[in-house]
Amino acid sequence: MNQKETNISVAIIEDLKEVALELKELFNEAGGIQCNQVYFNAEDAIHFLAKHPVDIVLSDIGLPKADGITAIEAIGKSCPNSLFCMFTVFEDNEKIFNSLKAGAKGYILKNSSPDKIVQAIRELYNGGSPMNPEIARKVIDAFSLNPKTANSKPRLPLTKREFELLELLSKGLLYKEIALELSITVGTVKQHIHKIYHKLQVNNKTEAINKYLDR
Amino acid sequence: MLFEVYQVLLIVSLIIVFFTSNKKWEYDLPKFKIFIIVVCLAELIFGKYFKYFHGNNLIVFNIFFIFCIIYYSYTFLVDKINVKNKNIFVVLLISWTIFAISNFLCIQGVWNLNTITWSSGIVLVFGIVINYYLTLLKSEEILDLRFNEKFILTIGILGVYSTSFPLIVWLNKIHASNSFIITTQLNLVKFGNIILATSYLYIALCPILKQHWSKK
Amino acid sequence: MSDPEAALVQKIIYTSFFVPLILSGVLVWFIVFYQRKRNEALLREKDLIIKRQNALELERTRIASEMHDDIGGGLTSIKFLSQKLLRKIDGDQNKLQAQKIVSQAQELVGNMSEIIWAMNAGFDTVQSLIAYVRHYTFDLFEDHEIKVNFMVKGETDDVALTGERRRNIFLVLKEALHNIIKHANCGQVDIQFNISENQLELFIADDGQGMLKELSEVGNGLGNMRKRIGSMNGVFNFEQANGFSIRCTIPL
Repeated sequence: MNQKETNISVAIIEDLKEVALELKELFNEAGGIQCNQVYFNAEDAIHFLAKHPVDIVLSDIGLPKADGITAIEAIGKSCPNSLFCMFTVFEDNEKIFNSLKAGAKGYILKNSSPDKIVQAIRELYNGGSPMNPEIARKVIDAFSLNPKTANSKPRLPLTKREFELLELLSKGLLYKEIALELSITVGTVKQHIHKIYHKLQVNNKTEAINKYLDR
Repeated sequence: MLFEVYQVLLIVSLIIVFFTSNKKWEYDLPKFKIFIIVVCLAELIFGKYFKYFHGNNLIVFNIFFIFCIIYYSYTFLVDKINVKNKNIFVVLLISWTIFAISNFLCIQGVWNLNTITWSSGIVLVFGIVINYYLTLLKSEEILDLRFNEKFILTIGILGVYSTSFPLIVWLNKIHASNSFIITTQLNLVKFGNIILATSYLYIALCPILKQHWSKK
Repeated sequence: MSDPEAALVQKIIYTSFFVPLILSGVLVWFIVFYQRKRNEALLREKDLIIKRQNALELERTRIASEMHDDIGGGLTSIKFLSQKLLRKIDGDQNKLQAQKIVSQAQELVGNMSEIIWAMNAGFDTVQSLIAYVRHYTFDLFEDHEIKVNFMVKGETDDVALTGERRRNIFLVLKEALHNIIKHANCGQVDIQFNISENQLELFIADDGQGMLKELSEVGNGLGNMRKRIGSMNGVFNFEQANGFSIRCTIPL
């Protein structure tokens, strides 16, 4: 694996042991990814990952005690450079969206083929994120102006391009169709999504502060 | 004075109805626009015409009264809600109409006040209004009475028929020689008419008010 | 007023005017008052019914999601374990069997997520159906050398469509697309949604060799589609000319 300059370090948080261990093997066999941290619950992960940060944390959403959303929020504070990716059975948009607000930059369906899982990890590392139509819709809603909070906080408005992209995504267009429409590459589309997720997280934080100050 | 207060109100309603006719405002009351036109014709043109050229306009109001009773009854009987006793009222209305016409033509005469027709007609309409109220109270629907044209119409009907019309009907019986009493009576009749005309005006405005209110 | 009789008559006149007026006033007031009370009671009742329905809905969703999490997790484990098996074992026959387990588990999870999608009232619009179908279609044809033309005509934004109907339409489309992949041997598929004010039209056509209706699988599939569309009071037609096409018209 010398030819690969980058060696992506990955940690897995997954309560199904078979799945977690198989996944670990899968990553270590695929070139360029190294995985030597596997946690079966959120609490351990929060504790240990603070001392041994990794590039990407792949976390299940439903975990025994604290859930994956809480986990990534906590880990995000101690390791600001880690990227978080949710690992979920169904495309449960509500939960995925909440994870994104908590700082996740991507999600992978457990049902995906091994190749796709590995590919998604690589993409995420290179600053690309996936998004489905329903999440696009939710993001648009989250960013549409709320008159009550409009004046009181510095907004992080999306750029025109980002809005265009969300509109197209919410209509069910594929990345390559969007890329064609906006004359950019698929990789750029995914990088835009990545940035949108970042703004969503920041937006969510200010929203929380505003809610607190409102009281 | 050229026009009485209630006549002015009728003219205003007529104007509003004409204005609304271009737009998409629909009245819940069936054929309300035609009704208002007929009312205005009777009250403002034919009534004045006969008064002026024949000295007696009772012929107009005898016909007009029959027309009104038929319209009011039709308004409530045509409604789907009002099923109870509907058939009885339809039969009553038809027989009353036949009686009223024969009374008008043969018995009491065209130039006299058809007191029998008037009193029985009022009783009939009251019966229908009370029946309407009963169904209203039993109805499972959530109705906004503020803009319910039928309900507004019942207020007008009650107002005018329970007050001024008995006075007119009894006019023949009270041999009032004192002109002061006659003036009092006329004033009261006019007051009753104002109630009725106001209800027409309100109904004419109902679609606009409803629209305005629902926006809020 | 010197005449006492006239004064009496006037009194009678006033009485006969104002007493009925006041009585009618009281009657109208009573009706308004009572009707308002009734309105409030009816509203409360409606509120209660809605609240009860919501609670029921919530409970149903909870049970469903628990079940899904459980079964979904289990199937995921099966998938990963058989994937491991697939990598560890030798022999084509064995590998084939393991691969079957993997795809079977994957398909089951896929079916379950379709049900979840159908059950979620948040997706009850034509827009959502089309976005979902679109993704499904392109995912499905990704590994096949078939060109997909996906077209949508008409306004889809706020057109409501219940979960039951969304699922039916989706399943019809799924069946049709699987038929195309298995039997059509075609190079191009046209999928078209035409949405007008009161109906939704779905048109799927391929340029392949056509379907052999005698093939029991195809025949059954067409029967199923007809049944599903029929359950929505829609019309289902198919045509065999320059390929195979189906056309479903569903009233909205």
